[in-house]
Amino acid sequence: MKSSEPTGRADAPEVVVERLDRAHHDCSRFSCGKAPLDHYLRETVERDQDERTAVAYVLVDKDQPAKFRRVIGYFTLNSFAFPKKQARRRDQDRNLGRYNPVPAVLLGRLALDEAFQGRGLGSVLVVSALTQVLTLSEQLGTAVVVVHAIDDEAASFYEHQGFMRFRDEPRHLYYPLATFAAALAPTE
Amino acid sequence: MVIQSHRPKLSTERQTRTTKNRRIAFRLTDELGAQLDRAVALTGRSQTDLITEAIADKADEVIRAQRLLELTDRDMDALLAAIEHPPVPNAAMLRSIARWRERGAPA
Repeated sequence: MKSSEPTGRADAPEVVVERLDRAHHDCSRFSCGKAPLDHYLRETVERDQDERTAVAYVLVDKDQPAKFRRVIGYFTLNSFAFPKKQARRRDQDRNLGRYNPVPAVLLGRLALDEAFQGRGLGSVLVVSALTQVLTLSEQLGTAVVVVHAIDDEAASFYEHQGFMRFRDEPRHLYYPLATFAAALAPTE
Repeated sequence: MVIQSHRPKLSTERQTRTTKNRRIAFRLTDELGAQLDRAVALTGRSQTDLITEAIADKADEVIRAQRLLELTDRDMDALLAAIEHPPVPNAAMLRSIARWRERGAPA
């Protein structure tokens, strides 16, 4: 791989993504500026993980001791689908018509602690999430990643990365996995 | 409990984001009303503030609990087209990947 010029601020930590485990991750200080996303990490995420309706991954600083690391950011993944209407299925969508519904993974929540914002780590979280889904897609057919943006600012952030907004569902955006696979492939 | 809800006609899309146009009136049982009063006293926040936060949290939770999204025909067409003919990644995504590699992506 060719060496690239620095693309993030120098003060951003070296990070690693791990499955959320409360015994090893400190969520108590997490504050992203959006109360529902803070509340979810502190209160609700474990119930969802127990019920297996979502899995949470956290971004932590590599230099902190592995036994208890502060959560810098997090995201959640779960399965998702776009059902096709009965009428369409019969005579349209010749190539993808055999897939009903369209299989997807939902990036349901993604948040970065305020203390770490403005250092390019939000996009590191997005790439971490897409990478995780790409790995999953080797064992479970997945055509796109869908995000539910909490507000317009979040939607614009995803749009900047190349996510496409549904015209009639402006808070939902999608990113084809094939596009991400191409983005990860070495260019030389 | 009685809930009334109406949304006045708006002149612009922008207005819906910035102005509080929707008015909701509803009745509470004495028990729930007393509970609300206690919560208001404990937090020192206004009743409207507390209820608004509760609505935002619950609406968010319900919307996010969706595991299916039925798209309009034009959105389904766009989605299928993007799957069949994936767009090339944009420069911002390539920069994000470079940053992710620098910051300690798994090899």
